[in-house]
Amino acid sequence: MSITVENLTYTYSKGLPNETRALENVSFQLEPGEFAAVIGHTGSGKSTLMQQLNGLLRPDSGKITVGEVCITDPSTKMTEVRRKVGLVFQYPEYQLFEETVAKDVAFGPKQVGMTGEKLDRVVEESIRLTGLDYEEVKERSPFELSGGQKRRVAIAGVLAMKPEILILDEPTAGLDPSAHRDVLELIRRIHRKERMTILLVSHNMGDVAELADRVLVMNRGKLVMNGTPAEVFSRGEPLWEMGLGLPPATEFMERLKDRMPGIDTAQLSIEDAAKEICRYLKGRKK
Amino acid sequence: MIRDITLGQYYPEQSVIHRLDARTKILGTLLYIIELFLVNSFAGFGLVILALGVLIGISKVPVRFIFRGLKAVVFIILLTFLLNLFMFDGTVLWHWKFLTITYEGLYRSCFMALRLILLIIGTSMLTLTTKPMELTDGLEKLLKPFNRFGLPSHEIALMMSIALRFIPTLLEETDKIMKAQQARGADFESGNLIQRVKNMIPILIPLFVGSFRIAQDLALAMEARCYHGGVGRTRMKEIVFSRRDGVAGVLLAVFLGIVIASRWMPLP
Repeated sequence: MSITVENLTYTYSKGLPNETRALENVSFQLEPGEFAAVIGHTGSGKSTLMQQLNGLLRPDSGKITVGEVCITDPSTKMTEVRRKVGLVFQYPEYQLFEETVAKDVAFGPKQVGMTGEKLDRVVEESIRLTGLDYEEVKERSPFELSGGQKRRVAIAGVLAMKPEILILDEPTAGLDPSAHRDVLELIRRIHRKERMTILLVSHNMGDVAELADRVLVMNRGKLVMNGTPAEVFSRGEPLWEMGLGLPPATEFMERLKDRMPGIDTAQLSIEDAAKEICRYLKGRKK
Repeated sequence: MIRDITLGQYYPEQSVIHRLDARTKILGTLLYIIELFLVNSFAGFGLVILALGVLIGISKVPVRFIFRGLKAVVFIILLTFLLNLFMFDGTVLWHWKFLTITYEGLYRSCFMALRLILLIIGTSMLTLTTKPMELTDGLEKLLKPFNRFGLPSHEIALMMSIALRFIPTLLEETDKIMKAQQARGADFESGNLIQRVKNMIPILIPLFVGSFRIAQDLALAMEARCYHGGVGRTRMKEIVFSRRDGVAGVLLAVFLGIVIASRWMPLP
């Protein structure tokens, strides 16, 4: 499913002393099945943008179209929009509340009217999709799981609604490296298997470079860059100025440039960086 | 929305009221509450409103900001109003089946609603103009004489300030959880009363768990900074009464006199 955002503007606490412009004239378009990442400094409007996309916040002006439906139209039914656009909040494990994992995951689909065998099947599928052992966790309390497991249960809860677009707000924040890898792997798997359109908010440039087809850069409520990871991360200077950074491999290459003039710094992964260095060194020997 | 609740919030501003000693303001608020219950006429309320208006003016807190806090308690005010409206015997003004509105009931309910509104606005002025830290310090000093009777004044003050401090945090948390559950298809706006209460469970449980988490983190952070209760604890900024507080005290006393005197005046 595609998303089209046109001239979106939103202000918090309108008319009060703490009025803040959170989004200013944001426009972009995502194709069905595309994997986009949103990066930006804290307070740049990323989270606000995410909440606009499934109708939790209503824009002051502008238009959002999801698939065929214009969700900023006041007559649109929000429950349907929220089913189609799954939103995984930051620290989603804090929203778990049921006695068992299976019941918690079933909450969303139940709300949209799924029942009986179909519900059970969807719950099992979603839990398995996140890489958890369904038989082992289904009857356990979500509160006794580990941090990484809890987060996966929370993501399963959103997946169970069978969304066609998945938005994840810093899904790996605060996880240990192995849980971090698991969650990334899970996102990649979902994208590949379900062909969902994915929008990932992240502060980890390495993850963004690895996963995304497209990078959107937000700064002070404005969309300032929109391109492939290679395009965006070739512009180190402006990214630094916005308080952002480069993927580790690109940054390494940037620093190497002084010692190895003429090396191609546009490398996003460690493997590519290694290859480029080898190529450069071989070239120099000749 | 839920963020509109201003109860217990501080509004940073440079004003005489903000600079007053917290003890003066606490005692003043206490006096104000007593006065509200001493007043027995609408004219008396007029006096109180006038005084409150002047106070708000001096404090520079925007009126709109104060009234936003009322929105959250509109339901309680309305309930008080309606209960009083139908509960009094007297001259019948309007009658329909089992519902009767009397002149006395109308008078009474307006009176009570006004009292409640003034109570909320007046007391919220205390927290709006006093930093939670100052409030605690003031309260602790005021309660100190009762230590002799086994009252743990430091602990009480600390508990109160923690409660105040975490109101906005918990509201924010509630807002976040509500949104997260809405994103999962939860609906808080429709259904009958029982249904709606049931719909609250997905908010209340995470909130409850969350507050335990916050409490635990806070306790740990306090211990890490060697907190060991009030015994032998000194403070960086000792609070002292100044001339301002003397003036405020005199004004408060005069106003109390006026309110008491108004009880015997033949006012509407």
